[in-house]
Amino acid sequence: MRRDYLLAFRVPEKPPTEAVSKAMREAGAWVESRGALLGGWDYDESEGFILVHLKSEEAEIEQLKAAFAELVSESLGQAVESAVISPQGGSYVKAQGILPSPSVMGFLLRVSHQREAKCDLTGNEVFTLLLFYMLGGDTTRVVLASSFFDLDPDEAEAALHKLSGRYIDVERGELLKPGEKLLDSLIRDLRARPVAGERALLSLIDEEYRTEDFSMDKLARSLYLSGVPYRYIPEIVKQVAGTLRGRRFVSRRSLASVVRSLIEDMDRTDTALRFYAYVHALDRVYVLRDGREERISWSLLRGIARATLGKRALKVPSALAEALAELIADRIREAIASEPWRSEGVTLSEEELAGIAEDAAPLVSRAWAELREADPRECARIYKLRGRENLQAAKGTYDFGERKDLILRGLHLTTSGLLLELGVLPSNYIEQNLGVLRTMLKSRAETSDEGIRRYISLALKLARSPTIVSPRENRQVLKWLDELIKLEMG
Amino acid sequence: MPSCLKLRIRLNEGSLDLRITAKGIGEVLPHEEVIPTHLDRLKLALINSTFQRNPIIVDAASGLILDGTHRWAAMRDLGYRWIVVCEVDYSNPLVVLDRWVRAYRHVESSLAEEIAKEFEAEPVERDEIRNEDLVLETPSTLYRVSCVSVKEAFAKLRAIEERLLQYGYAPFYVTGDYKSGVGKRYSLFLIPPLPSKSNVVEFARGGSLLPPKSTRHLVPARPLGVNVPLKLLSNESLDFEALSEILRQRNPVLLRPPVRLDRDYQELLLYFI
Repeated sequence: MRRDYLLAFRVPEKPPTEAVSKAMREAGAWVESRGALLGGWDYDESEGFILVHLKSEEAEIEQLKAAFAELVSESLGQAVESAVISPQGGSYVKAQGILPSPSVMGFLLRVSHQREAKCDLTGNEVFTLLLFYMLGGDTTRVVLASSFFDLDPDEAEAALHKLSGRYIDVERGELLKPGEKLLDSLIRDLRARPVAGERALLSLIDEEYRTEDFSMDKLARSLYLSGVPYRYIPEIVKQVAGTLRGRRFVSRRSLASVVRSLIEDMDRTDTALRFYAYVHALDRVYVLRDGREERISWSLLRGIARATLGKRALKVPSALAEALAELIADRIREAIASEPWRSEGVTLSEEELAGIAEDAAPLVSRAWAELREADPRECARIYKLRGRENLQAAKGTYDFGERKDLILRGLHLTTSGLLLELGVLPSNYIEQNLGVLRTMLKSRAETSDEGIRRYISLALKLARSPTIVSPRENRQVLKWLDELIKLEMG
Repeated sequence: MPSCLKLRIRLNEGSLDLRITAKGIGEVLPHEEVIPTHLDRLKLALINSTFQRNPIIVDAASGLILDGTHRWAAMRDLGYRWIVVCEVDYSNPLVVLDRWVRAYRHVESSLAEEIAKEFEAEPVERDEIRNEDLVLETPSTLYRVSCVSVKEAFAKLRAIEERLLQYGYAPFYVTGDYKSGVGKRYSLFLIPPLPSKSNVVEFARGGSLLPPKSTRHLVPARPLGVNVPLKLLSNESLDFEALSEILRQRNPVLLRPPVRLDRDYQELLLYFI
């Protein structure tokens, strides 16, 4: 079970807060890759004293403390010493976190404003029941945290008193059946749902009569990336969706004109011009190949993306190459859209394009960057090991937000490890990795793959499970997680 | 608007409400004088800081400063208009009023006797001593200094301290089981009167400040590390909504005593990290 600890360090040369902040970020990323969590830190610059809030397994805290000090020392360029924080001479003490993880906090903050009465309970009592459930049945935490959600501690105490014996068991810190039943329906009702938007897929025809898939998501992304203010975007998307309703094809030229006109209605300066330049940016880009200038094309971008990602001598899934090609295109568009009055063409060398691709590649595959110096088999072993550490840690935490983070990190690491073992470059996206794994297994009918097949099924369920779960969903998630950890993979 | 963050801490003996908020610098009441060297040190630290790290502790009803007189005086002298406070209910029995005993080393018994005589102190038995008495204690004798009121007792405490200082004796401030040191580490104890809580509020309201370190308030829980930007506290009017969000920005953790940070804490800490 993960616990909260406060660790103390002393930095003799008292570096500025910015340097300590960077060191904390780096050390925090390291501990988090091992299934622990950096909850926060505080630095007293005048004393050179750092306090660090870590969540970790008790057995690992000493090791983490030493590693943390080493990482911070390395980042700050000076030796960081453990400081005494307990009168017995220890450099860490057990602590008790009060507030939940950002995901749970966010959910509670959202719903704290819509306290509706349910069954025989008032809005405050229902909210207190939610707090009790989300804070692990710890009434001390419920009363202490209540004020952060604009609930007076007196009201929280009174609500706990009323809930006790009927909805909750205060002594055991557990929900009683009626409490579970109420939360099962309440939590599902309180979840935000995406508005049923325009999902129809259209085909976009460019000036050279090539077609590509188009959706309102793509339009919203282009608007945002071209610098159109966010407040105009929902209305533009709505109007375009209305204009295109019932159609299967749209030419890029007419679509860009409609959008440009809508922006001009809303913003009378140069925003429309920038959008137009962004959409047509690639039309002005040429690539110098074998001494000849060639208009940039998607096939060229995909080729460069594939060549870049292929440098690690692993199979490159087409979705991964596509994602990198999109990123390269975005970077070129952004650079050109910032100069909308420039009408002449821009010529890039193949090396320049390759440079952009190399720079963007870690954004689609972190493993690609790490494999620059590591052997794929060793990398796979480490990914799977750390993946399991994260999944184990997920089992030992009752904070739903922390647990989901650990599950996703664990799944990303284990899927990456499995793909590397199969000679495939993993992506930064879990669902993409699982999709590739499933496709690969389809072509092999080996019984030894049964474990991986079950793993894929469980991993998808876990990855797509809600972060904030009702009591019933919670039991299901724990069951899946348990089975996934026990699975013998490959 | 002025309500900011009310935190209820459950303790074995009961519960304690802490309300973290801000008060106008003139709205709180000191009841003790400051030690100039300590004040100068704090002012220097504040000049080099961008935050008020820890709130001072005050009584919610009267604004009496229970802990943090020096920090308050430093902020007042530096021109801040507001100070972040943690309000507690002084009448809550969990908030205990104690005193700092002055312990002296190597004071000759003849000097102790001379001072006792000068201040009309008479030998007494331990069970004759009352809380409001000013007491001198040597390894062999317990003296009660004759006073008609608690106020006079504090005036005489100051005079005796000054007299001992003239002879080159500076006190150590000790608490709790100080008696174990009689005749071993220390040769003389000067034990201030222990006023009632209402006495302390009365003195502060009347503007008569007690000598530095006359009282020692034991609050069973306190917030630390709230780190409120000092810039916010220098404005003429304070934006309480901003302060409230700043406090909610941080993530408090409970630390059970004993904990050693800038000093040893024997109370429960709520560290905003």
